[in-house]
Amino acid sequence: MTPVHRFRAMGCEVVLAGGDPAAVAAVFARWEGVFSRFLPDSELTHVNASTAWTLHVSPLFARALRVALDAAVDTDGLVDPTLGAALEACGYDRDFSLLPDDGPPAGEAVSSRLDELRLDGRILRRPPGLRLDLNGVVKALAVDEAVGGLSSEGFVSAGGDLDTRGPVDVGLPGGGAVRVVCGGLATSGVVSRRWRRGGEEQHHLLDPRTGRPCRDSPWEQVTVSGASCLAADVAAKAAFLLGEDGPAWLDERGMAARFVACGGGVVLNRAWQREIVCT
Amino acid sequence: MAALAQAERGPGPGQPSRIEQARARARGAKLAVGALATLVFGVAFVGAKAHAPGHAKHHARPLAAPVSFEQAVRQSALSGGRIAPPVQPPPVVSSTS
Repeated sequence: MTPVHRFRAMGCEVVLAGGDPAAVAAVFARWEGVFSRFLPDSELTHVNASTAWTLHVSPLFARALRVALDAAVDTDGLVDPTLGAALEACGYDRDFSLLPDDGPPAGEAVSSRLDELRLDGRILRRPPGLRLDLNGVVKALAVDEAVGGLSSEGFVSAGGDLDTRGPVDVGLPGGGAVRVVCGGLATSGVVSRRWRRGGEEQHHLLDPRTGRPCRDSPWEQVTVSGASCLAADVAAKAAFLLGEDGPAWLDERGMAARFVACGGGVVLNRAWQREIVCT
Repeated sequence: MAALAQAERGPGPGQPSRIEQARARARGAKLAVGALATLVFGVAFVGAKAHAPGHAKHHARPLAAPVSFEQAVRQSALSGGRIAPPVQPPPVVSSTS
């Protein structure tokens, strides 16, 4: 069996098999160095702090932001890169490992500002104060790039979001497993990355309409199979935010998904049932 | 009659001869024609540069379709992967990070 390697990056555990751990670590370091909200020298930190209306960003930054804007279109704005200030208002203003268990009440809500942002090539136009958070796509993009560099069959997983080269069996939230034949598998939910502000529970999956953590989803964790880790991750976030409509929304796109409800029950959408039964 | 007499007598003292007057008129005409030609050339040059540049001043870029068209025909990135029942103990778990 191919040896499995583990290391930490982007605030989560990275697991890989079938490649050079140092090369994969370098991929994650490069993405984290550009897109971390918490590193003082990251490009994202500089962009968010800039008082200029127009900025010339790096090719990598432009590429990720373009992907994030496309994801916003694909999800009707549910996966939104303009919620950086909203996350900070909810108290997520430093590396998660440094967040206190509780703190002052959440600040004023900041809803989506997607219509105030334009990206033409590498020219970014947005009003100063609009703070980006590209975490919705960056981790998955890093996983997909790292898998592209694997020397043999294997996989790369970051915090449970993975992409594969060749079949890999993957454990599922709440028990059970599935074989990922090709593509990626990602899980989004509110089991981890939770904290409190003013005694009120907070989490990182924000509703872009309110700028507050989504509280009316019946799901605890949503696992989606996608053509890539990016597709799976974006779809899982959107399906979580869509609540009861999530399974049908993914069926319309031919994406297999498994929903763990807050009460512990498991719901499989039609695409998941079809793929598992037919194979 | 007086003018005819004057012409017969030639220019008075301190006055330019008819030849000199003709030369002065020719100089003025040449200057006017030259200025006009320069002006026409300048306008044509600027116009040509603005509307039909002979070469691009920057890297050539492919002709881009309108944003609305791109949005209409753009393929969604959201498409499914392939899954199957597991066949061995999983070496990795998908979970919320």
